[in-house]
Amino acid sequence: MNILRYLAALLVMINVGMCQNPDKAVLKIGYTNDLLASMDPCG
Amino acid sequence: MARRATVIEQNTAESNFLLLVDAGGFSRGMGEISNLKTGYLLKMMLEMEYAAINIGYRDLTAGIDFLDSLRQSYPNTLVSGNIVNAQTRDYIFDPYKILTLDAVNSHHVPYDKLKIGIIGLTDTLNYSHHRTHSSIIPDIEDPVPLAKAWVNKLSRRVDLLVLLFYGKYQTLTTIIESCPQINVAIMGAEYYRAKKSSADEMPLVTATQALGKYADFVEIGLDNNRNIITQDITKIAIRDSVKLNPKIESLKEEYQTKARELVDNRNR
Repeated sequence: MNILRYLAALLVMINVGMCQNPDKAVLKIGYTNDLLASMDPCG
Repeated sequence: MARRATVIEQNTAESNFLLLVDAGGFSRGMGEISNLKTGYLLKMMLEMEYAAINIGYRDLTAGIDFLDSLRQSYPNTLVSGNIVNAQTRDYIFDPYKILTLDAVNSHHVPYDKLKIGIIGLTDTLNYSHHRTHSSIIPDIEDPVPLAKAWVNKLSRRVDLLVLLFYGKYQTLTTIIESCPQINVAIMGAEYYRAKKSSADEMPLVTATQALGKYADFVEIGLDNNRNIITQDITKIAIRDSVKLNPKIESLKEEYQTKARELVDNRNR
């Protein structure tokens, strides 16, 4: 039982560790151009 | 715009850093109602938290005094790195912007801040200044050497460089070839010539193709050292079933009331 508890705790630690040390960030750029030529932007 | 605002809100919730920009070509032209419409469009864009709006040569037809009043009303939003006062040669708008973006979910990101440089440039194509009663006469300088100057000034100070360009695709290509530090280029005017960049193409060049029908996004994945590791372009259809953003919708109603008043006053 102790070994199982130890393994479970280890898994939780690994999971938490992965969440706290992400290796990627995502930047999202929303963009527009030529709103003049698009359908009435105020409509 | 009210549906676009909702689509943007729904599709950016999972990103760590968010930026909204316009490459130019937003102005409705000269005249009271056109200026009212352009003014409200800008109000809506600011409500949606656009960080930078580039001035294209076509936008100058709204009248430089009107654009200057918008610049004063919304400081640090309108950008142009090559529209100058013909007499003083001073830049009329901010040539560039340096933005420090805060991470939305900081515990899921390797860093909580990202520094972005945004440069605005326009071509001189088809530009003719409307010589009205403007106190400022604008002139457009060659964007190619200026692009290099602004890029050299900013590239070491930021993590990513974004170019907003309004004009010929050929001019943009020349700029990109001479400025390899540019990471993303968004263009207007000859938007139909901007081919979809492939995943490993640098810099990523893009433009909205089906005007008004889609909300377009560039998604960039960055590693621990803020280097680009993935890039993708997505577009989301703005369907009639999309919920209207109440703040944008209320601005639209305000605009419609003011436009009606203008027409009524004219007919009296």
